[in-house]
Amino acid sequence: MTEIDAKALGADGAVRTASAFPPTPTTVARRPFRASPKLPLSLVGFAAFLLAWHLAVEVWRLPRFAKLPGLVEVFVEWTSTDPMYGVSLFTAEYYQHILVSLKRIVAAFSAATLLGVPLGLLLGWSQRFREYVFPVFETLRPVPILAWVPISIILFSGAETSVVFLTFIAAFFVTTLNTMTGVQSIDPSVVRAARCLGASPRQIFRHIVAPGALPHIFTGLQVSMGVSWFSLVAAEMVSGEFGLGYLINTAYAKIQYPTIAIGMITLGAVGYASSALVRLVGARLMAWRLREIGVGR
Amino acid sequence: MSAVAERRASDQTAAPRGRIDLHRVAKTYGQGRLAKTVMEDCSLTIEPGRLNVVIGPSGCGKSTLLRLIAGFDQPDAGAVTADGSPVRGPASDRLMVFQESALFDWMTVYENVAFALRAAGRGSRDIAPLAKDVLERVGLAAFKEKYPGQLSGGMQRRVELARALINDPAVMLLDEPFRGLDAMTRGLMQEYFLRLYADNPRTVVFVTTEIDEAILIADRLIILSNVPARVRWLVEIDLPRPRTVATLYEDDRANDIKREAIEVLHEEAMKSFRGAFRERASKEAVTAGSK
Repeated sequence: MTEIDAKALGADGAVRTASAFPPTPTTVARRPFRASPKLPLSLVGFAAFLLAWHLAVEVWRLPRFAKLPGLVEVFVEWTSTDPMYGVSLFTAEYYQHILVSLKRIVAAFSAATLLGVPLGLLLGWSQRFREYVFPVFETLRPVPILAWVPISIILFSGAETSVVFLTFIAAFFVTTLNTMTGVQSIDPSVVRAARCLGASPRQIFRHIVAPGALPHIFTGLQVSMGVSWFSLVAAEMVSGEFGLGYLINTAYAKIQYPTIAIGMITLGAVGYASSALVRLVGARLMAWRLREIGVGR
Repeated sequence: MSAVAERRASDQTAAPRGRIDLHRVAKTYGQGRLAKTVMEDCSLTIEPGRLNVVIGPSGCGKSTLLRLIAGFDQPDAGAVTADGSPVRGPASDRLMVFQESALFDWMTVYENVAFALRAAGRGSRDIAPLAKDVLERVGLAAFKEKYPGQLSGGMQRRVELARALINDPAVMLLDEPFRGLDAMTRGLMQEYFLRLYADNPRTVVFVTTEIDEAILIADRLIILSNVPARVRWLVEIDLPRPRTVATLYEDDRANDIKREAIEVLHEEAMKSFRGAFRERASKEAVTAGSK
């Protein structure tokens, strides 16, 4: 997890820029958690969901639900030291799937951030650059990730690189577009003020444009993290030898239904954690904004 | 003596800086049928070291005047000169304080105020005493670590003033700096501004739409005509200082100026209405004739 943190931080130009005028190190770090839904309430939400699942599948055995893996069945399998289908909290295989998926996410997400943020900043900043690049960008962007599969397999020999590439592509477009929008959303009078105060174009880019775009950039990074997982699983289902997407797909083929549910729950948990991490980094870098909205207190 | 005041004192020996001349300036925005001539054959002088207040009917080109002086825009014809040399672009000795808040939300009050000096490559040790001094003068020393979003509207305007003042510009351009503040805060800010100005005299061009504000503040009052803008009426406001809203209320001279100014302004404002009516009337006549 800290790996993502470190890479996201070191990777993107905007982030380092903002730390040139560092936000005052107050107690900001803990605030995002307070900003997230209150724990007891979210527990009620989870309980209601699990209860509905349990009732629908195992108690009432509703018509379309009867074949689905039940809550108890899944829970027993997941926590078993000797699972029926070979994957549980106590097997090395389970963690290998998670680790492989995580590694791919880290690689793809950092590459997308590393390339997408600077490109987005440039697209927003320079009209001429935008005129050259944006039409191409906008033509490639709507191409669904699954349509990229053949090309990525031809392009890269071996499943590993092409899975990462597919994940990267999806995240890259989201990050770039949001960063560009972020630059364009900056109030022109703020830029004018900086110019008036004697800042050079370079200084304006560094101290005004990059930090000013940060809110949009981090919205983009959150979406991009979600999209990364989405396309990772799609890619792993198509070609892959490990990973949570692969696990779900093979479990389906082998009629190991509880394992499907284990894979899905794990995806949900890891996805939630990774998005929370992006939020956390964002909140640390944008202390000024948290306080402004008043979520901080 | 404050650090900034010291710097100024060393300049006092020279003639006051910041004389601005507009000579037969014209400015048109847009092209073809959408073109709008905002300024035509407009000549005026901003006297150095004085509080020049510009007032005029809304949309008459007051902001254009400031943009030309600031160097954001170039005139289509005529010349804008600052201390004799033509204005070619923005410079930090002609600083603009904007209508809408243009603070950098991601920087603290201190960083906002220090921005221009940092951009100029001055060291932190150099900047700190200046920033401290300026923040004290606008009464925000205790708020230097806050972000703009945490301040009230009036405080934000004061940060803007401080951010401009720290550069000790020869000319300060203020585009309706107190617009959008509630009446009470506005009144306080006006008196506040006057006290600040008394300690830091320089050339000021202050644009407003409020006649009371104009008379309270001005050394010279410049009333612009309806578009295209020209100087319609220029009056020296020779009322004694310090002035307050209360003293002006009972001052006959102030009331005379106000009455006359309102008459002129009203006349100019009506021109744009009448112009609109005439245009509509002539259009209707045309359509009626074609039937």
